[in-house]
Amino acid sequence: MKCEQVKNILSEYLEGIVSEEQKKQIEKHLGICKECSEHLLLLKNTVNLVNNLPEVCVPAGLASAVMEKIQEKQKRKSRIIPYLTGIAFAEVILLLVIIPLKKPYQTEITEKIEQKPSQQAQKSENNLITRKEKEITIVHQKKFKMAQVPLEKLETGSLEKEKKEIIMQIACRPLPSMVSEKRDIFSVTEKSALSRDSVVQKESQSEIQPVMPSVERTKTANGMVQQATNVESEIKKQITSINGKILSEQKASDTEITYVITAEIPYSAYKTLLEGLEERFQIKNTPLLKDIDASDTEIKIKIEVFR
Amino acid sequence: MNTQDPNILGDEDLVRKVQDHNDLYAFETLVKRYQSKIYNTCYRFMGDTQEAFDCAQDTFVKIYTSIRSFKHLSSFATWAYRIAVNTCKNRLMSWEYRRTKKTRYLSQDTLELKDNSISPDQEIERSRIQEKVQEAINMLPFDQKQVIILRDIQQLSYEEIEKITGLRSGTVKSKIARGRDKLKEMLKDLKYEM
Repeated sequence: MKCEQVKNILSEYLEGIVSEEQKKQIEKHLGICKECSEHLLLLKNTVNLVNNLPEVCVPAGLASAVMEKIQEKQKRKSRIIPYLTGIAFAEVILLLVIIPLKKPYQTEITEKIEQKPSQQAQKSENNLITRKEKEITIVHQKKFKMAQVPLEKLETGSLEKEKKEIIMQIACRPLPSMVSEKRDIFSVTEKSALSRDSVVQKESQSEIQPVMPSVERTKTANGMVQQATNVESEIKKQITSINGKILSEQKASDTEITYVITAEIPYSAYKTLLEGLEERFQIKNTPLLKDIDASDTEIKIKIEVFR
Repeated sequence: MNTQDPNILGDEDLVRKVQDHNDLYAFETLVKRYQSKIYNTCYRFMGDTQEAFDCAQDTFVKIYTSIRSFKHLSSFATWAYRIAVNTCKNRLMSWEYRRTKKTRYLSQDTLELKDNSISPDQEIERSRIQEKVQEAINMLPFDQKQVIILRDIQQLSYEEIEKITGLRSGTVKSKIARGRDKLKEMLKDLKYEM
């Protein structure tokens, strides 16, 4: 064995934890190597010095100091726990109070609009908003069930809303010969444009003579039925002549109303329709255009034919 | 009601009493049983009586607070030593300790067990040697210091040292060898005389 190898293992040799073979080799080397022998002696001396360090006296009161500190910790713990419990309890109470009071949000609107400053000027000129980037999502759950707004509707500056239906009540009887007071829903100029003078003159008679343009005077048992059918046909004819669309028609079970026609007509053609119907029938009520939004392109009309 | 004297109970039984019933009397018994070993270990690490006292106190408090996590996989002594070594290590590494580190000399009348068989001169000489040895131990790096203290001062087995330090057998042996070599160089002028 070489000196380096022996020196490395001398500590274990001192401990007596080397193998028998190693022990023999070490002792053989130590017998011939003075340096390693001196090294072993010094090592032995050092180990003995450390081994023989005395046991130091434990300072009085270490055990009691330990127990005191432990009891202090326990006291602090017993103070903190009710405090923390109290806080936790208060938080639970707050949550129970706050959650029910929280207003349920039924309408959520998120809107991001970016407008360029230059486009603000254009808005005032042509009443249009030019948007660089627009994202509008409107989700409603309202009583009236507003539909989700498509983007194109927003660009036109109007929101689609439920069409208001106007109701027109027409008497099944033909227009009387007496002049019927017309409700002035149009301007004076428009009124004068109507060719009613001849009608007024004819109607000067006190007795009302039923004049139905399209009535065939047939003396049949169900003459009134025949008359009524022709009223509906005439009304439908008037509607289609102004490019209106018949949405529905049905016989009414009401004691006064015989028939109901629902149609969709262009806003601009309402006047024409009204004139056409007024020429032929007695209008019990004339729906006012003020109830109709001028921006609507089409209006919904419900015509009730009375007995 | 169990009226068994805790002093006659083994470590494991005392530990279970503390774990199951928070028996502070049983814990105090454990403290008194191990205070010398733990304090001495702490003293050899710190080289200072006050620091050793604080470390020993902290060690026992830590033992108490974590006793429920002790799974009895090793002996209570091994576990206690491990906590003591770690407590001392943390203290030595702390900034506060390094900033206020002072060299304090052993006081003969408070620290050592008096040996009435030797003369006062011999007593003084012995104290001087012991101081030198402690100083040399203080100079060792921590990993060598811990194995030297546990092996050469506390006389623990290699197996126990492995469990306490978490080091492998070969590593423990090599660190002991290197630690002893360093001490040898520092103490070569001192002669062991008993």
